[in-house]
Amino acid sequence: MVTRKKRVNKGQGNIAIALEDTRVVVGNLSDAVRRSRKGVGQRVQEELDLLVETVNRTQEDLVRLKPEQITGLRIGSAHAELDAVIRHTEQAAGDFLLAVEELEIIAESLPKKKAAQIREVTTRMLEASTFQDISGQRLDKAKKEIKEIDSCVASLLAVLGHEVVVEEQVPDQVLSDDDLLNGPQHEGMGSSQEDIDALLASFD
Amino acid sequence: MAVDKNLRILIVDDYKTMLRIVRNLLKQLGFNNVEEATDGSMALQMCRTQDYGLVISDWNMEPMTGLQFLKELRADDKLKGTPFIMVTAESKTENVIAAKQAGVNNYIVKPFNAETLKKKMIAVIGEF
Repeated sequence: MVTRKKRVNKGQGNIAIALEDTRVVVGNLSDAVRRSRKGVGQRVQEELDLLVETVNRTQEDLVRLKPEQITGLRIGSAHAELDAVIRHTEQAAGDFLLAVEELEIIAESLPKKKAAQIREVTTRMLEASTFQDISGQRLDKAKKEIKEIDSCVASLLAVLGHEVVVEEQVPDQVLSDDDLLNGPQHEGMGSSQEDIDALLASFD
Repeated sequence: MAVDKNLRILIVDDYKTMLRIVRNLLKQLGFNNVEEATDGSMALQMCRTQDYGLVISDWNMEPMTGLQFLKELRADDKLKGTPFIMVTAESKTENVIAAKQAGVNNYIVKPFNAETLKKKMIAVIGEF
């Protein structure tokens, strides 16, 4: 996967301008109705006033959201934090495995029974270490999702009239099994080893 | 006849920690002739230059996934008989079916334990 910078130009369906235009048009229409047929268009007048109020409120809400504060620093920092977590857990798992390997060497010099006891413990330690692989995959998945949020915020900023530069993922090639890469499943979502064994057996 | 513990095994995973864990578990089972690759293309290259009695591969790797690697192996007349166990966090039914259709010999879902690894190895290469 290659990451390339993409400039999102302002003006693509600019909501801020569109809202302003709508506000002006509705305002003008409202004044025209008021001037031309006093009393007759009372209901229309009320509807138009309501529309002006709604447009104004929407514009204020969008400004209050301050999407420019979400992008860049905050999302970039979340990404860096996840990278650091991956790095540190990898380091910790590496140290942990080194200790396991040292214990195994010590076990070789012990009487058979003691060595077997140590090996039973180190096996459990090795099994537990697989957390790093699983958590790493989960964090990678979270990183991809954060990147997508970043891209969505950038698009929102663009329609609000801000010029932003976002990074987008460009696939090198279309992988035929891409849609099968779902990563680790949450508890109860994926198949258990027993389910998989049964499924495999059904092919025989 | 019991399997020769000198059997050359190729383990494939892009997580170095995982390679180390599987290598250690294999060592505990008495298999010391273990080589490593970090993605499917590297593993395929190694298979083309060296015979392996067993491949234990992850699925989710770049640039070549474990599934693609398996398909390449099965498409190669010289390598198509290589015993192949997929060890992966991909646990959806469609994954297992795709792997089986590609010719996987067995499938282990992560996280797994030493007992599961041993059982699946026996199912694929025989008693040891």
